[in-house]
Amino acid sequence: MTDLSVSSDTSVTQVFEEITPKKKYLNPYWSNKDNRHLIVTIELANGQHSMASIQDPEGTNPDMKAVLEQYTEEEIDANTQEGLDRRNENIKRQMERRESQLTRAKQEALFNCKLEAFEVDAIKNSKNTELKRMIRKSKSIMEVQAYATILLMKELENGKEAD
Amino acid sequence: MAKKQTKGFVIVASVRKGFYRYAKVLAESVRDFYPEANITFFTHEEWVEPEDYTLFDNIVTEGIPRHIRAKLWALNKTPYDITCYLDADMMCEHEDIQNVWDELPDDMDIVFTKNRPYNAKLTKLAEGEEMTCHCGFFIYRKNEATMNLMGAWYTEYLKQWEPDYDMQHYPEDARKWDTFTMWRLLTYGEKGVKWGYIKEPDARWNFVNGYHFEELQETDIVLYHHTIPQDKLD
Repeated sequence: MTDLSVSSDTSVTQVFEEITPKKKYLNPYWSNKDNRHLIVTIELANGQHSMASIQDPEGTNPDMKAVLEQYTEEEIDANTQEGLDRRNENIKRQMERRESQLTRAKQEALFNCKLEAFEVDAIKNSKNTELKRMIRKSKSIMEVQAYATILLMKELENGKEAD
Repeated sequence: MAKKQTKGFVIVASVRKGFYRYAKVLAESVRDFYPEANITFFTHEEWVEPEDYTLFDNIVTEGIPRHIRAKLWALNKTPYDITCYLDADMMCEHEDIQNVWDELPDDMDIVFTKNRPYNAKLTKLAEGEEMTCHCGFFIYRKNEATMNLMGAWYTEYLKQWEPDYDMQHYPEDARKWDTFTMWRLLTYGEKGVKWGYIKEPDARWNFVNGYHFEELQETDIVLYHHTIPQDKLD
């Protein structure tokens, strides 16, 4: 048989209620202020972040209440405006970049067209400086092609006359 | 009577033959608008073709280093009193090229066009430190100060590439740029050189692919600066 020993200590240990650390709400902004719709980043106790959408048309959502305890409406309005400005700036920058790429490609195409024109022996060796200059000064591919054609025709005519 | 100053262009092509081919395209374009232009060409002897002697007034092959920045070696060997250096990947598009010499004021030793940060890979080095001179086109006067500057440009560029070279707080990306070397020299070195910028619209003298046309301020491009595609370099 095994001896059963019973502790004689009968004191009471107080049990504390485990408190869950509060969530932190970061950078809230209105998705739709009229519908009381917020977007907010939630920082959890372990440091992880997650994006949340809080809708509170009835004014009963506890998350909305928690956010409004941490931030004033004016602060949320300011965050919203800041985000909008940032987004508009990004769109503007993207458009500028796209426009810049297009311009670059257009300039390159024009330059390559001029290069190709001067790779044609009859153009390269032509003594018609005036037309050669016009090809070089051209501001569009169409212009390069037009002047190159005129120059070639003139060179052909000159060739015929020489024959 | 004062001796008339000689004026001419310097073009350099080394290491990769594409530079040689494009240098000739550039020289032909300059000739079309400026038939009497003096053009000196620094390149490797084995590339030179007989007809090059009609295109260029002067071809220098002796001693030219097989180095991607052979241009820096060549600059203080210019035969001209006033030199306009042109990168090989440019093309002349206007007869105003004949007046390029007027862009160097009497009280200046060297003038550059300005870098456009929106179109450059790197201009800002640190807060308040920015590479503002475009080193693909510039006009300079032959005097002791500029010849020293050009000599230092080459040697300092070589130093910049040494493994123990201290880049300090500057971005590592700056190491490969001769613009960085020139910026260092103009900012912290060669104080005797009077340098400046070509007056606006400077972009017309060195219109780099990607520049906004508004930069021309209703004028025409004189020199267009493109980038030779890698597959066309050999």
